[in-house]
Amino acid sequence: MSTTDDARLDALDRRGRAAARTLLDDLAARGATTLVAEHPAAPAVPATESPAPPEPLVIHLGRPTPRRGPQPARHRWLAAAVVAVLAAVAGAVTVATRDDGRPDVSSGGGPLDHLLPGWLPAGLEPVHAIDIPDTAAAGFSADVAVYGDPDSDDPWSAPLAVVHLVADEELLGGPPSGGEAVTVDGHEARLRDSEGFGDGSPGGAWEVGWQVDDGMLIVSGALTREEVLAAAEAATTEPAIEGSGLPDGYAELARGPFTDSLLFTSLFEGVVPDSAGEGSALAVTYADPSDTDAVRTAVVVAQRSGPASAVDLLRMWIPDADAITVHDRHAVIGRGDELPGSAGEAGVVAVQWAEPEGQLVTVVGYGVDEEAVLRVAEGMRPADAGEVAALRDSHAVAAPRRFGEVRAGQVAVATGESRTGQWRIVANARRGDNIGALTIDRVWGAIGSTSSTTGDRVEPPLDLQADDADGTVVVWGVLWVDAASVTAEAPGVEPVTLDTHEVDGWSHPVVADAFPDDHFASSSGEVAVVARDAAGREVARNTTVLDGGG
Amino acid sequence: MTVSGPIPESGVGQADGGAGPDIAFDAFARGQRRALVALAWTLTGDVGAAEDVAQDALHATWQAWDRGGGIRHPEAWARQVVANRAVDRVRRAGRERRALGLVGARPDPTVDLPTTDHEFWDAVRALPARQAQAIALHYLEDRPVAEIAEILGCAPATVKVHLHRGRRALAAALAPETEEGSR
Repeated sequence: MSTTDDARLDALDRRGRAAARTLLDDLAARGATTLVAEHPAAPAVPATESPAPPEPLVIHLGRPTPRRGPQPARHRWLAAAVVAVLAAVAGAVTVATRDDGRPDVSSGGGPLDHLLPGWLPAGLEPVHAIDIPDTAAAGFSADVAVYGDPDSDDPWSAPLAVVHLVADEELLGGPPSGGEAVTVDGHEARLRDSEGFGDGSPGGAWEVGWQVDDGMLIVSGALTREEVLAAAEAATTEPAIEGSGLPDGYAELARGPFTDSLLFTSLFEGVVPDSAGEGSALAVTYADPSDTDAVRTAVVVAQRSGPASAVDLLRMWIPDADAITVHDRHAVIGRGDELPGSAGEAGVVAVQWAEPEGQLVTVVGYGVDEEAVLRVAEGMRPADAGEVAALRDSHAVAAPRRFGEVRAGQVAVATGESRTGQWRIVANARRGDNIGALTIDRVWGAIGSTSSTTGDRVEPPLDLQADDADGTVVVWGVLWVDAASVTAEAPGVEPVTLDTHEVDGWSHPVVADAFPDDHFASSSGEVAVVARDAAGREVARNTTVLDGGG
Repeated sequence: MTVSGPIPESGVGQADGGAGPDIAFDAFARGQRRALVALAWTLTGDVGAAEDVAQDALHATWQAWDRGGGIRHPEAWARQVVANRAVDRVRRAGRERRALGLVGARPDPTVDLPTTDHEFWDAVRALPARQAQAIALHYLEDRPVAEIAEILGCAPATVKVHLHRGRRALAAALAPETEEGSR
């Protein structure tokens, strides 16, 4: 190594150590702010002591930590533009479904020659069979074309996509906003970068969107700002990017309906009733119905109309993907690891291919090894007459998910029902109000699940936490002040009294309760959780935990 | 700079049904949480995510602590969980970004860390995952190779390779700034 290299590495080491110091200083300062800034009088008491305020003391509880996914609401918070519209359409489908208890949104495309598994891993059987919604029936469609360099080692390493959304202005929520104002082909457009999202890719991505006659065009790519703007200038509503706008060597990699995204979101989180529609497109979940684990082993098989060119769109959802063959046809297999506590905790393997009759088939395995998923895919066989109808009739509604026993050494503080499953707050019976003491477990749909410990920090005051899934918001936390009641409330809406629970050995009660996720929908004001003493005086208020979640 | 001492062996992981292990874990959690958040942040770049990851790691540590089997090196164990879950989190975010970012997804709002050298840590995050983990433990906690190897569950020689490659890549990526900063 040269002297120059040594000098550079020495300088790097000095910078690295300085970077560590400033990071720790910033985090320390941030922690102090979280604890005392909003109420300097609030003491940072040890975990085993009671604050015992002599006078009513309003403690503004700290900001909530973002909940970790996967859960449907997470995508709504993360996404704008198309995904927000997709969520809105899904909501419309939900409303239509809830009104009379039966789906009334028809699926597009012609009748499909359904396939069903000829082989399944031991113990798995059908638990849920639903139709996949056709968002076009709700006035929305989206198509995407993806470009890359087919001669590179990984053509999907720097994809360039153009998406054409067809929807009225109400569904789209108005013209694009935010970012930098630019002009694309004479249209007012908004340009935004996606740096800081944390995927470790240098350079990030750029996205530009603008209104067109029937909706919106969006061009996005993991390319430079100039390359994305050049591509936008050459974009059409086909959708396509004409050759003059493509980087050298780029060609079309895949094309198809972007409404696939709803399907994939559902597949990765467990197909939920929200996405149920009516028609020939079908998703069937296979699992062991006696399995009370929060994270089920399952296989989901989905079929819907779609072109062979859409097969590779699976890569938009699972970057770790390879080309294979299924039934001697081009297919893509992708693998992913989801967070602990999610439906994909034990790994997700997805295979997608197109049958010659113009249908896309997707097989997704949760906690099922790749060999088994491929065997399911290869073993798909034509359904017998009446077989699919019988599946739909028997499993249109998945049996509600039920918990098994709580883990040894823990106690269920509170348990309740959600739309298709259960939630519960679990505490350790022996421990004080401390780290890791409270856990939320949820199960819903055919395989949806959440298991997470949150909202229980080392230092008081402790955050309240909220979790929104399966039509139910669960709120929980430790009540560190003496209070006679705790309510969730917002202007113009009936307050919800949240139950508090004593836990043996704990010095403070636990707040744990739930309410329907649309309870505060009609309020235009802030949703807050308020604790009051016996005289009705406010002693604690949290204005952030239900912000957007209730 | 060392924010944590040498990895201690803990004999308190054997649950005895009393309060002893809990009190010991309390002290452990209080002493470790900030360092775990910092480690998670260096790998995720998101304070909220880092707090979640650290929280999950402490919970997982406590569960293992509480199960009665004991944890020989709880500091190393918790850091291993943080390192792995932070990378899982980043991979998941990458998948979401590829899917959602292509059509307008926005990053989660990040909490500002005003004096932090974001460029440096961004460059760390751009390294391959294993190199980033080793580099983070090297600079953030000033841990020797043997301890990094224990935390990452690999051989010391492997850590040396990760550190060597990671430092060279960082030096190249940050060359002008680092040289300037060294003057």
